[in-house]
Amino acid sequence: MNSLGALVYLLCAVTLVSAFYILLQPFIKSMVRGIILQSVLVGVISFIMAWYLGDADFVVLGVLVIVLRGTLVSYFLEREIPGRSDLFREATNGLSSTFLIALVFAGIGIFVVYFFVFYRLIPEATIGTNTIIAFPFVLMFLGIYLILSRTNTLAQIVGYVEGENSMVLMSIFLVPVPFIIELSVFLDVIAMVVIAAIVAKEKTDHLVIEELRG
Amino acid sequence: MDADILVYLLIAIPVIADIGYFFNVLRKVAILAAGLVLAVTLLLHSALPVAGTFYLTDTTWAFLLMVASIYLLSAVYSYGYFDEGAFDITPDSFYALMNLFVATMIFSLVINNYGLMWAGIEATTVTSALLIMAKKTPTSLEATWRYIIIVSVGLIFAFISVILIYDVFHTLTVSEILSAPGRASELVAVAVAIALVGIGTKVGLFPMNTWLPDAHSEAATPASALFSGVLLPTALYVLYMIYLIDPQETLFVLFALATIVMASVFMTYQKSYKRMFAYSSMENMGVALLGLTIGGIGAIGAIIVLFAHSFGKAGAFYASGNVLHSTGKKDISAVTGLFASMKNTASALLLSSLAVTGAPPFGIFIGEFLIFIRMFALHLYLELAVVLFFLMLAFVSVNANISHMVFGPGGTNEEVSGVMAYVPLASALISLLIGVVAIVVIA
Repeated sequence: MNSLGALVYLLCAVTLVSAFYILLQPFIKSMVRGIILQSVLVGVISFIMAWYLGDADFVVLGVLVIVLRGTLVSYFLEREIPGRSDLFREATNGLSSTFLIALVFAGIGIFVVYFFVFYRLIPEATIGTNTIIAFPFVLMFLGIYLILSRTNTLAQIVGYVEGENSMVLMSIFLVPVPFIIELSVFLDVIAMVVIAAIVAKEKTDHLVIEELRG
Repeated sequence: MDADILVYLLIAIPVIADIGYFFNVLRKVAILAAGLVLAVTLLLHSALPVAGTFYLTDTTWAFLLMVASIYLLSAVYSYGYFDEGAFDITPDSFYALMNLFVATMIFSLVINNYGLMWAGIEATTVTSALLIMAKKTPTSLEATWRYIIIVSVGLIFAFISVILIYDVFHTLTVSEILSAPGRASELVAVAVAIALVGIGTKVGLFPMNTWLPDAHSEAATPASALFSGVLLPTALYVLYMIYLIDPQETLFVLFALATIVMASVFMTYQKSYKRMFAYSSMENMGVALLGLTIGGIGAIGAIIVLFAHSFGKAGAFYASGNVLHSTGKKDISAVTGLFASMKNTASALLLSSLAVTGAPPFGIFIGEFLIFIRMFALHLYLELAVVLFFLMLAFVSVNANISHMVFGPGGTNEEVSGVMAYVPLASALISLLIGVVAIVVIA
């Protein structure tokens, strides 16, 4: 593997670290900052791939990720944090147990879904070996786990954006889908976050409601 | 007229109609737009098939006709609906969102690209989410949120499917992929299976159905009708188009059966009539998926089921909306004697209930009958027995509850007035008409 390949692997590992960081934050503002960092990392990976493959589409993709997800989405999320935004925290308990369960989720992502299914079926990736595709899978599972483990609306939106970031990574490493599709996905996600932010303004937590049982 | 122009018109008309929002005439303009969409849809039939920017077959057209018809009925029903009662959304805002919602559904149905189909389905979530919180109660807000987050996560999975399809075929054009020789491969099979989970979430298949009863029961009545009547079939169409790439019959039949079984069981203990109808939608989707999967006459049966479901379920939700408006109660046990005081609504509720549970000669009965014939021909005896048993269970559950509401003692409720009294009845009768026409055609 050349040095660019090694750098991409390293950045992917840091992306996963950012996902664990987000998962362990009780403060919503820290989670939003975490997703900004993660989006910027995905954007940087896209820039490196543009250099590596000589494809200018990746530059545009990287700019879109950084501008739309790293800036615009985060702006909408930060705007909806109630009260003193730096002090607003979710009433979570047992973040260490959350971390352990997240590791299990990451394990499922790597071993069950990736190695038993995709590693065998997908012979090559756009950079390095096909093992690099494990990163987006793990990131996706961590995003879904974030949604499952939290009751706060904004925390769940962060989980959703993390899942979408994983799709950008997967598309970069597996096969860059046509640009019009990428653009549609970006616009959909932006619109989804805006709609979700409207709901977040009205309802910050999601607990069991008797009328919606069964 | 050129087919492409007609399709562009179909998508553009509801969007352009939204200009009426700025002149406070959107309610009337939206009804006009809905009528135009139905007219253009009818015109489009003579131009089929289409395979260019758009991909339309007779099957696509049938789905378009469902969307256009229920759009018109909902636009007309909403005209009266928003004059009665207080809402946290203005009528014009509701119409504006409904128009965009319909445009995204039409786009998802006609576009000749799996990636853009995915984007269209995601866009239906964006445009429809706020229709659920027309009245901002803690319950409706929670239902809205569940809808957004569960469906969005499902669609993340669906996007993996899109990436895999592109990885294999290096194109996402539906017509090219479906005409490619030797499409089957392990990776494509995985893509189709992932789509079943991802898009299946939007269709309301078990076990990804958890958003469905909440959203359907809490949405404003015209939105409930659109959700159940046409959003679920639209998502099912997209799933079916992916299924056609490399049919995974066993897996799809398994999910269809699980959906029918679980929806029928859920229906037996529902307290709210709107939630009961929501589970009935889930059951109808299971039956339709089963028919589309087994193909042949079963696929024709599935289209008839979907068509009759659209009108029957829209009628059921309109009638439920009338009952809720008049009584203020959602519980089945709290509503009785409707026939004595609300004849139109009670008749519509009863007819719709019979329609969606597959009573003869309604369209769903005919469609299900064709699906059963196909299952018998394929020697799917055990599956057929399971389906028959649970459909009967659903039939008894729903109709026993509705009979209690319609013919039970009491009855001092006030009938709704204007279009709200007649649209549910018209919708239910169209479902009956579909059955009669189907019998005549088959005979």
